[in-house]
Amino acid sequence: MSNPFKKITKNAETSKKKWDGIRTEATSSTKTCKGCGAPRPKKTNLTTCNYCGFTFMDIDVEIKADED
Amino acid sequence: MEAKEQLIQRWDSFLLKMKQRYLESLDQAKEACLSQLEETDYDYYTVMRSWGGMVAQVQLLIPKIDETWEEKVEPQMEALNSSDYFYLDEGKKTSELTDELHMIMMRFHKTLEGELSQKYYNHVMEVSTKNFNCSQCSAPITIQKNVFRAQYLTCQSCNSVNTFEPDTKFMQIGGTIIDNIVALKCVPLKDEMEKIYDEIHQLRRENHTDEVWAAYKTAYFMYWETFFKERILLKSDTEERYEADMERKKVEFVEFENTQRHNKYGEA
Repeated sequence: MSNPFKKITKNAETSKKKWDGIRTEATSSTKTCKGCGAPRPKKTNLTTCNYCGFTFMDIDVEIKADED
Repeated sequence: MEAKEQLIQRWDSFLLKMKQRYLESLDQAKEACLSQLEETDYDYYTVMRSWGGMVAQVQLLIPKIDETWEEKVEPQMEALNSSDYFYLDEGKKTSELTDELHMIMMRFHKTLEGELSQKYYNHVMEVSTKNFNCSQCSAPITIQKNVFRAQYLTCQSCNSVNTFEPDTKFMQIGGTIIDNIVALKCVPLKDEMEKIYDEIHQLRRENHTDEVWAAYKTAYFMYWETFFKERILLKSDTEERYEADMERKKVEFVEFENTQRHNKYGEA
């Protein structure tokens, strides 16, 4: 016997809203300094380049890696 | 068999069938939700929209109990002109079953949310957190599985900091998914807390002693402390909120005790 709620699941599927900005794939990348080309090393403030002082993010907060 | 006994038997049989049909419908709804989660490639929110429709459909059974009583059963019982007014007791079965079905639905809803969330979590964890490499040196980098936002991850080989941007499904775990899983895990503690409160609720207010409220308070804080600590294990950044969460629960408890025990409203 087929499931009596199939019609409801089908309706929910066909009427669902298509959202913008859905990320279907995760990515990893390294931000490199536009000034000297170096990647950001661990245990440093990620808002500025530790080598040449280039500003990555113009904010007044120190940002560290999640695990150093 | 006398007409009275026959009527009672038929009424009991009807009530039993309604309960069975309700429970069967919930089982079918659960099966449909679990299948849909896979069929939609783990689109949890679409499944929950379906569940909302299913609840509306299943709940249509409840008014039928009252309708059948009022339109068919009660008139037949009253027509017997029985001196013991037995139909008054029979009528109570309507509200008893209705209350029971509402309680079953509440519990089923929380359990289903938890089970769907656990299935979603298991799947997304498996597909979303593997095979990422440092974009500088290609060495593998390890994703933190209890942080559901973009992460700054350090490559253990070259020390470069990588930015990991998770897919949407992974980030959605940090929303209600974790709370639902933890709530399901804490059901025994919640049951204990609610059992004690139900016992208090049965007492007249003058019998609301310090002892019975102390027992409820212990169960209440045991539940919330466990809930928040379990949540930290699955979602590490909720640790920062732990003290504030517990403080909020303390205030809520005092307000609740004031209204339920002391008849004082609006006092923390």
